[in-house]
Amino acid sequence: MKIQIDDQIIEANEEQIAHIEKIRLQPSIDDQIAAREATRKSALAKLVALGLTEDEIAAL
Amino acid sequence: MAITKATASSVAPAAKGDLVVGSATNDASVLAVGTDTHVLTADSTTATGLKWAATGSAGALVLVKTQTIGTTVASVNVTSAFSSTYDNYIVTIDFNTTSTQSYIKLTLGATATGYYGNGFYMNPSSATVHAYNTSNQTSMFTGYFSTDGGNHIYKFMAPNKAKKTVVFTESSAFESITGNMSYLTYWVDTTTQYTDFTITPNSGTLTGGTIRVYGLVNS
Repeated sequence: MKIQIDDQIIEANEEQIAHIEKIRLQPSIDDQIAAREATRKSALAKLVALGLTEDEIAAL
Repeated sequence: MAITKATASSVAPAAKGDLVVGSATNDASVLAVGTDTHVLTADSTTATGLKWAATGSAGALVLVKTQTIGTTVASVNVTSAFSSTYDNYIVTIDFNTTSTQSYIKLTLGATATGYYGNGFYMNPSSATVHAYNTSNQTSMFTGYFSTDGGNHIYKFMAPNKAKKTVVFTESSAFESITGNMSYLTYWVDTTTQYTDFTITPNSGTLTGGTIRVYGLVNS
């Protein structure tokens, strides 16, 4: 794994690799986006099941 | 007019860039070289009537640093970006190409905890606004880039002052993806005085592009 410090590009040492992995380990934004979309679709399905029309849902 | 009070040795420059200037009638002294990019300006309150100061009037942007992004790098650390010269900074990033579509995680100094933020992002194929919030994370999600690049702009408020830094981010990726554009605000739960920042793609590597750091002139 190569990392850049200003104009220097070096092979990362173990400590630097561990730091990058820690940064990357936090919850994925993609997962958060997918979770929010799933929540939105679930709520939409419940509204449809209650008998609301698309226009009524859009007006909410 | 001849200088009679000062001797050659007493006004001898000590370093590259030092100036010999008049300090009173028939007197002279040495004004030491200023900080890089600073310019000479009049100031009647100083001994020489001159001082080195950042260019531009209040609100002007001064280029502090330009950093070219290397080839297939997993992170880019930009040092000497922040100092006590300016309170606030603007950073622009023009990503060239990347190995995969992903997003940037921004960190300040060695801090890898305590990032809090919220904002929203959108997909150009939909008018839906996605709200985003996060707390006590290891970094700041600042926006996406696609394999053919993207553009980000970050506004750093007080990164080098002994108070909590706030970062406003805007981004756009050249692709129709959720998160194509984003507007996010973060604060860091520490009063660490930072001089550097690091951008790390969540996956893959960066190749090419330019990072520019501008200081916002205080007064």
